Amino acid sequence: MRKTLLLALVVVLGLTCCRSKNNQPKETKLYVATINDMHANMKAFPKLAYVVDSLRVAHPDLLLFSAGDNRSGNPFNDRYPEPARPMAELMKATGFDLSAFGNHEWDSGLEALRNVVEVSGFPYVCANVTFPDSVNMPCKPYVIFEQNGLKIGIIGAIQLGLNGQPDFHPKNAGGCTFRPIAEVLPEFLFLRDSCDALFLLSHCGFEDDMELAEQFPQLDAIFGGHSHTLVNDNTFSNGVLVTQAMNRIQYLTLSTFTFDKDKKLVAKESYNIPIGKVKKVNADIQAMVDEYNNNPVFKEVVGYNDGAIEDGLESLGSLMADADRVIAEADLAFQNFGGVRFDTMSVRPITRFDLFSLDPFDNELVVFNMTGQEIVDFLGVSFFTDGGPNFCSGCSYAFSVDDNGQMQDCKVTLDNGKPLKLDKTYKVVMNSYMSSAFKFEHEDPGTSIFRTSNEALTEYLTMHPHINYAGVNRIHEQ
Amino acid sequence: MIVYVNDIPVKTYYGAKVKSAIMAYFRDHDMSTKTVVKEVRDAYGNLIALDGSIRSNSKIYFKL
Repeated sequence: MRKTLLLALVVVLGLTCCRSKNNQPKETKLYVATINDMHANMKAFPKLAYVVDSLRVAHPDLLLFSAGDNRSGNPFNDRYPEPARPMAELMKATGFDLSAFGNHEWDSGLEALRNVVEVSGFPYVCANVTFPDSVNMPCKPYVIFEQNGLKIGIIGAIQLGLNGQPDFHPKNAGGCTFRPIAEVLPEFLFLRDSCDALFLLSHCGFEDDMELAEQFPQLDAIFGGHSHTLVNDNTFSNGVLVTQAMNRIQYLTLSTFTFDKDKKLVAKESYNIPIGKVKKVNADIQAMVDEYNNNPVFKEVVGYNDGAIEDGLESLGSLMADADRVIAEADLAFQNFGGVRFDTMSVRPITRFDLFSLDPFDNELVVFNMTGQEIVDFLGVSFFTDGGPNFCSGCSYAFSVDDNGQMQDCKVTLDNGKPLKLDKTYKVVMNSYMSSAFKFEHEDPGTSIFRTSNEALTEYLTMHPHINYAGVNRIHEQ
Repeated sequence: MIVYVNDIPVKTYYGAKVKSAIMAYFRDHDMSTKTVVKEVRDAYGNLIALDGSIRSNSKIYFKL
């Protein structure tokens, strides 16, 4: 079935130029393959490379773009000694022509990002970011490709959240400044006059892309990312083709643009190719992925457990809560009972791999400004929601349980020995699972700090390589 | 921020993902957090991944 699909693609795509009787091209086709939000799903890369190879057999001039978030989602890439270098090398080897920046490209800071761009060997575009001069980031607002006698302009874009920055930890901004893409785009519409096609490579999310298409019909297509949407084939807004290929290399979108003999764009269409169902792989890319996955760096010791923990969910839960609190610079942190996966840890070195096993979830940290009363109510309401009481940092608490299994008389004591003030507001951090699944009243809706609890744990251990949580007891049932 | 899950307004945090909004819906409707969601679509009928980003007033629809 898959062979048939690929064969059909080869035949169909082979008709790049249709010629008239006098051998002058009647029409020219441009093929653009786009992917987004790969999030370092390296195990799917050999299949993606096989599909790209197959498409290039039919059309050697195929353009291959990523709409950003190439990284973040796989420690073998993200925690590589040079962060995200494996994905950059895989993209280079597969022949990517261009990438936009996604918000996650900033996750290891600007120096790491510049290294990724330099390793990639293909350009990155973003029109609505300004990097500090000191970083010397090789990023352009747009690029122009010349293919089959056509001039193709591609502008880059990144989404901005409520704080005017992309969805990343504010500390990772590194002095970059951002402007809304709708404000910036008019400055680049001059490209419309000099290019036969004008595209936006956007990491803004599908809803924003549809609005941009409404506002800027001068664009021929928007190749999108960020919202992890599998945009239906041949989706148009105000005549602009809008695409997006879900996430984690599940799909690749192939867009076809047909130009008449006067280089006028007369037709455009898109088709999502499912990558997961492809059976074959590119062997060279597979060998690269195997090597990255066997990287000895993950056996590297990142800390030492100095106190034997036996039957100690609370010990490890407290460690995780401490990490969250310190990294989020919060007053208090809470960790759910069900989110702790070990209950023992011998006196031994801790490897990077141990950390992924202890906290395998991809939960981001969410900060709330909560009153003392809201915190006490939170502890009561969420008691046993997750199979046990919440572990804590920055405080301890005592309570009793009534005949109905409800928490009663909860008294929270801060680390300074003083009681929690019910009318005072505290900065509280918890993971995104607790933030969403636990039913508690809170005036502040909360804000993600766009860092995962696992990242916090790794960073905390880097700061405190020797830990001893044996016998830690912060929760007292009376 | 407020997002709409199956046309019901749900309160969630800024920067939430699709799965966070659905968890919040489960929370508000006393449903188990282990409930299996078959598919999630946006207001345009496109499939969306659970870890996709949403914004204020986004509309998502899930099927069990």
